[in-house]
Amino acid sequence: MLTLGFAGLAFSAPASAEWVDWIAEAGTGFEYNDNLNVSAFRDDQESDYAWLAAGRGGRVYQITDDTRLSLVGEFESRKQFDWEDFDRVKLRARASILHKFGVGPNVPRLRVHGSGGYMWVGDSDRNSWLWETGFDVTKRFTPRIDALVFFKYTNRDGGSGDVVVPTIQSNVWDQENFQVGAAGNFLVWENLLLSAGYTYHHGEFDSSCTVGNVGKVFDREGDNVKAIAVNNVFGGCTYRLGGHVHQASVNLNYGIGDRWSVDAGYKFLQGKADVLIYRTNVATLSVLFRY
Amino acid sequence: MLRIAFSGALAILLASAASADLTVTVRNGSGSPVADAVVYLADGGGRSSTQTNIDQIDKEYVPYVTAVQKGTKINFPNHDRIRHHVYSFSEAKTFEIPLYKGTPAEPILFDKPGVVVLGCNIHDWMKAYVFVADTPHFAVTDSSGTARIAGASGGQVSVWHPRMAGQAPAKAASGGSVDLVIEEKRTWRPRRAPSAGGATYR
Repeated sequence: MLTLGFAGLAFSAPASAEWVDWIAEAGTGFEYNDNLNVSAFRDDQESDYAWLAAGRGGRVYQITDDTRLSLVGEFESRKQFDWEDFDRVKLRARASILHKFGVGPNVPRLRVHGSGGYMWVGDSDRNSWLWETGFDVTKRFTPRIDALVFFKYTNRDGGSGDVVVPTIQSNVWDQENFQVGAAGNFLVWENLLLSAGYTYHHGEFDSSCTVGNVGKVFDREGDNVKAIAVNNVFGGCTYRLGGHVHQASVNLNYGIGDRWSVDAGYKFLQGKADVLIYRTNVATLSVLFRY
Repeated sequence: MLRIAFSGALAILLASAASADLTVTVRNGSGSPVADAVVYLADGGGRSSTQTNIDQIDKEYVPYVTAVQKGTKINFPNHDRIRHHVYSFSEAKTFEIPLYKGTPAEPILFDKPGVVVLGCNIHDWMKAYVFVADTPHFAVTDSSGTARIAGASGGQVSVWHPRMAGQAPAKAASGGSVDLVIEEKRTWRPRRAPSAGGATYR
């Protein structure tokens, strides 16, 4: 629907509107995740390394002097070192409209975006359609400092796994989330960019645990277990919970020339259901390219 | 015959004096040559060029620093296959050339002395400077920190550079050359290289 809206805007553009720019970006790197299965129980948590690869390609259509539409195809993949059932490929189409409120580097920008795509996972039970929409507002304060605030709605439409409890649904990967957050960038030196951000997720997330811990989940979360399915990837079950997640991230990015950079990132996520707490640390090291 | 010979010699002398160049070298506090510094004589009449270009190539302004005499018109040819949006908010010249490809029909007249900072409303990292001089005697240093001011052999030489800190040093030139030392400060512009957050301008 959002994309149709964008297209409508594009067709109602003035005669001078035209395609003005290309988008071509790629990146590759490694990730370490200390709680790949998002388990609340230390004895269940599985860590792993993964090789990551991603790319984006598309075009920019200038609607007015201050407003442009971009249509982008996105590719994202990961190859786990050990847990190959978690290998995944995402393909996504994204449309976004960026409006700049005036001329100059320091005027605020509003971006509204929507995307749809599909994710293939090594464990095919987890294959899902992915939908997302949201907006962000960016403001540069000085050539060294900028910040953004954002809102995002995500919807994952997955299949159902094998039933564990007949009275509870098994559509674990049907999930809905709202996210709000803020991030800031600080240019430490000409080439070194320090970024930090915070995101609050409200909605649903899934967790996997061994059979031995399933009872503890029901003891502590009770009705908050919205779905549960047999999942052999981690030797037990995967379940869906309602709750919220605090996410804090920090990135250090070193630019090499105009088109390349090396990025080191760290992310901490703490999910909280009714009682259980889910903690995950993720570290990445990647090389990025933009044409 | 003697008068003719004397007149000829005098004419050659005058001509060589008139076409003499003043060589100016600009270095920073640590002795390294400073490129893109504008060196100019404090006074002088006459006119130099009346029109020049500042190109846009691979999403950058070329050259980074341009020196012109007051009253010069500048064209902004866009050699990229995409559009640029040139603007300046500087007191010496406020103007805007909204999104365009190729060369705009009308050049921009720079009729007030001072420094004009150029930006692009699409690509935040694009930045360039125009130094509008009140004199025809000026030049911009090359990568060796050297510039030649044509048609001048002496006078009070001043310097300006985008990264110059404090007061502009001025020095009397004699013997056809002069060395200037400037203190540099850090200047910042939005970075062009990709970051994990992606390019918000897109």
